[in-house]
Amino acid sequence: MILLIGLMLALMLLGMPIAHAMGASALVYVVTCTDLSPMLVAQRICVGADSMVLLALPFFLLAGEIMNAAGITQRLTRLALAIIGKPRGGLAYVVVAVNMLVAMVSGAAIASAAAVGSTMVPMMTAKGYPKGYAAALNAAAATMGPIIPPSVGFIIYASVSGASVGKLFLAGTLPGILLAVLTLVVCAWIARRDGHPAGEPRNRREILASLRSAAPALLMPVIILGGIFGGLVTPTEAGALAVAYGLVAGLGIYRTLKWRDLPAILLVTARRTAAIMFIMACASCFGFLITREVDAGAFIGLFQSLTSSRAILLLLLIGLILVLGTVMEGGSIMIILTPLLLPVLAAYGIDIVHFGVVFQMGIMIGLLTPPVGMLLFVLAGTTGVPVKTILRHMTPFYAMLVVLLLILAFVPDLSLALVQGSGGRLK
Amino acid sequence: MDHMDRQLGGAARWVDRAGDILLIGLNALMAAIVLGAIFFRYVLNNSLSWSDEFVRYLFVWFSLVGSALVLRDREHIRVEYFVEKFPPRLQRAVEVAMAAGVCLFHAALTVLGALWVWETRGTVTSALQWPLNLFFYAALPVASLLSLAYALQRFRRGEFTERDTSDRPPADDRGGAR
Repeated sequence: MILLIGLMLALMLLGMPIAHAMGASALVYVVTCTDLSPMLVAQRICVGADSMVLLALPFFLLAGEIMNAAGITQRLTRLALAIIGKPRGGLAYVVVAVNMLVAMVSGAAIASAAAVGSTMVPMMTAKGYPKGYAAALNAAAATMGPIIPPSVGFIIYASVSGASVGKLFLAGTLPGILLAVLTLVVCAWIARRDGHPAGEPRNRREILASLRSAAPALLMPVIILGGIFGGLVTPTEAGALAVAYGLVAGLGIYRTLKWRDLPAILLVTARRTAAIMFIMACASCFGFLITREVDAGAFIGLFQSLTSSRAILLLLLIGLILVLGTVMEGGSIMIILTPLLLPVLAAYGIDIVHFGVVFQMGIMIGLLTPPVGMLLFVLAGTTGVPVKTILRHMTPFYAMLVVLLLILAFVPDLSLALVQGSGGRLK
Repeated sequence: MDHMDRQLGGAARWVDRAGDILLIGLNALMAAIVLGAIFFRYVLNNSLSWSDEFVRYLFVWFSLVGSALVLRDREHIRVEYFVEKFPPRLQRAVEVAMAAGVCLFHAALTVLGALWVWETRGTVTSALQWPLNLFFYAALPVASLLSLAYALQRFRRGEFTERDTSDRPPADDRGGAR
């Protein structure tokens, strides 16, 4: 047992790919410490890759890429610009609004952060916003992507925890809206404090024109979320519909997407999916051995000797997720931790859907924390603003996100209210 | 390029391209099948019995073969933060050891995967009644063999740290997985 976990951690921290670290330690353990056939490792890896739920991953990643390539993000930006108009710090509100709209179609933070940031940061800098603030805001607002459904993170969590993707998507809705509202509040406060410039006055003709131009894009979330929440299609099928709709809009309606763009888009999403899937496959083998070898009772006892309070346990887990988030990629943290935590959550009476939302929010903060914070890197990469400059403007956003994380942890109803109202409708 | 590279170059490039094309094709095919299934269920009122099973096993091939190509491009998710803090010689030694571990792992999976395919001969998939071992389990040894080849290629080129690659012309951008 100690060999299994110790070897995995050692290999991972020494820089072996996470998937291989899990698979190799599982193989070594099976050969040296059990009388199981080593063929079990091969079988479990195959079984771990066989999942209808995870098939939603390439679809939602693809839909997001198609949306970016077809310039749908820019149309949504134009709409938000026209509607928000004049108030002080208006462009900051535009960033929040665009990220929210994009989040309803795309399930990943990083690709949309690059797409939105590469238009909004130069626009904000040109209007006289500090570029570090512009990049920091774009990074913080991008965390909405995987909280507001659809969400790649929830798909991963669902497949390792056994929770329903549809329920997780519903559970993320109110927290996502709250995240948007709190980000707006922070922006308003900073805009007043620093005297940020006002936007252009509203113009009815531009509002109508931008609305017309964005209408096909606005229909996309209606199809995706309506299909899932209405119980018409599974989340995987909704992903495929999103791809089809994105193609129709990009190739047919907007004509901004070209057939020859598609192979590169398909390849990028395929690679990103495969990297996650190989971790999933190896983790399923690793997790199988953990559940076989670890006495769940003793493991729960370990936690219970630390604390009997659900609140303190949640704080401990949040701390663990945030610490891991500083150096590890979020999906991997979910894949490794969730199977270990499931019996503990059950023993403390924590709902797995509620915990999924808290987990996802914690991972989003991890995307913003150095030394390894992918959102910081992506914004620095696409806008040329150094990470150090971005970090100088992150403090209010960190504070806001941590407050939100604690609210989500201690007010389960924020996540669960919609789920309880949904009945058994979800597929 | 050394002599060996030139000899293998043509074949290796062909495998690279074939792998990419396979991945692109599978990705498009999976989306098409799921869409087709929705169409049959809602428009033709006639649910397909085979589509879920077929697309699931395609996804297994897609994931495992794809992970070999991710290995080729060294884009597997890992924690590089600590290794990069090591002194250069130690860093290189650790990277070499980890790369060797990856080789051994894929060599083992190739053999074990093939044995498992043999072990499960005669089983069939539930809807299509196709040989389960060939349509499902065979993905692992095939993909692992490809991964092993790419892992060994890294040894032939001797590229383990940034330092090893910095004197070469930059590799072509393969699209960047992130």
